[in-house]
Amino acid sequence: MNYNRPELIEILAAEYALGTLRGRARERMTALLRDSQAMRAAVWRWESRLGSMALSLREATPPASIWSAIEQRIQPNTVVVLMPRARRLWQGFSAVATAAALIMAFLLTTTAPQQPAADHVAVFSNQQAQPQWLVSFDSASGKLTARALNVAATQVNAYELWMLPGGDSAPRSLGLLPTANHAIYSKLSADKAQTLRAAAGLAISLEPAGGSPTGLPTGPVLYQAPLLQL
Amino acid sequence: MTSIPTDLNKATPMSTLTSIPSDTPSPASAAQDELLRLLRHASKGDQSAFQALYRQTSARLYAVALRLLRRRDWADEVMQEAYVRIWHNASEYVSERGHVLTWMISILRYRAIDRIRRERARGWSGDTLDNEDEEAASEDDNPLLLLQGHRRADQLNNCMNSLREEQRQCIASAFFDGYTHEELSERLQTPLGTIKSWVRRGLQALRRCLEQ
Repeated sequence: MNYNRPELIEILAAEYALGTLRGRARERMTALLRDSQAMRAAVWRWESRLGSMALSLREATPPASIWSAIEQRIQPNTVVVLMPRARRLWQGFSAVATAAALIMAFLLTTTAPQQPAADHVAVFSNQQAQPQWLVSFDSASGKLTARALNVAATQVNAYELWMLPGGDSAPRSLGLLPTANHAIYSKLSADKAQTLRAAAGLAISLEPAGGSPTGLPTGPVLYQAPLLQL
Repeated sequence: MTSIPTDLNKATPMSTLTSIPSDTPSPASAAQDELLRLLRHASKGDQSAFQALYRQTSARLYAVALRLLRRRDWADEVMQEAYVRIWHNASEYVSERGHVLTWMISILRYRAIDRIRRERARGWSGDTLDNEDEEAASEDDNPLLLLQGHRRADQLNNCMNSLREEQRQCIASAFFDGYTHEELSERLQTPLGTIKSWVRRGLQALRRCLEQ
């Protein structure tokens, strides 16, 4: 099928937004939406056209429990104790080289408008020295940004980010990390931002979906990285 | 008329709207500006702005979720999923995506439709309502009537009314109840090919009308 034909794009976009596509047709659209700007724009137009139909429904106030659940899911806040993990020197070196390139790229993009400012960054790389997450922190405003770099999503688990305050202090949660190529932004409390400025480093653990439920580690520490001041 | 007038309608009676020049900020665009402001703050991690966004939009989204899913427990879960997604995707909203509210409604509808498909695959017919929801849903049960009475939906409403009866019915049922071509074919006891053609021609005519 030629997906460049405008009328075909239009009808597929309309049926996708309406919801009548199913099964393989819907899956194909997911790929097309990723690859085709024309298709994305067409779907957006139809979402907007059809969406106003929903405004004719009588409003229904949701129970308060829904907001409570949402609030919990966007702000995990727990404390755990982490075990340090050794890493072979050469792996560390190659990760640092990749990290340097990423930090350069990050610095170039942060000069663009609307990007959050940052004066600290950390890069988490896997054992093949491929970067997985880029975390940046602006100590003045307390803004923390975590960007996933092609991280496969996991249905049953979540990746949780921790700061390691150093000394005898227990690590503190900085929230759940995004997957795929998503980025999340959060604003730390003054207390947390203060601790993070002086932290020894960051770590990522594997936790059940929704994050560590007990405030204690329930999964392994997968990554550690220093928080580098720029 | 089944819909209850909204605050927007109360603030600006429909009859006066036609006389407002198009470059005058309307209540609808003021509402859009406010939602956009809250969304921008939320995209930078401001949870209180996100909570305000939730307060202003959740009754609209919940209505859509209840109508599609017809079960409160499922609607509650889909609401959570949708708003968590909106929180994470807040920075991806661009004005080309239309009104902030319709963008949010789309996010909810896709998740609700995923849920409906999964539940129907497990054998849920979608015919029965929870007892406690019966009252809430019954008055609004005719999708065609739902299109009447809301100002923002007016242009769409006019265009929907310009469609042939069977086209209008298919599109409204698909939108409000999440029916696929196959389900429409069963419900309307009409061959699948005919249904597909009604939907397709209806959507084409709708677009022509809306772009006039």
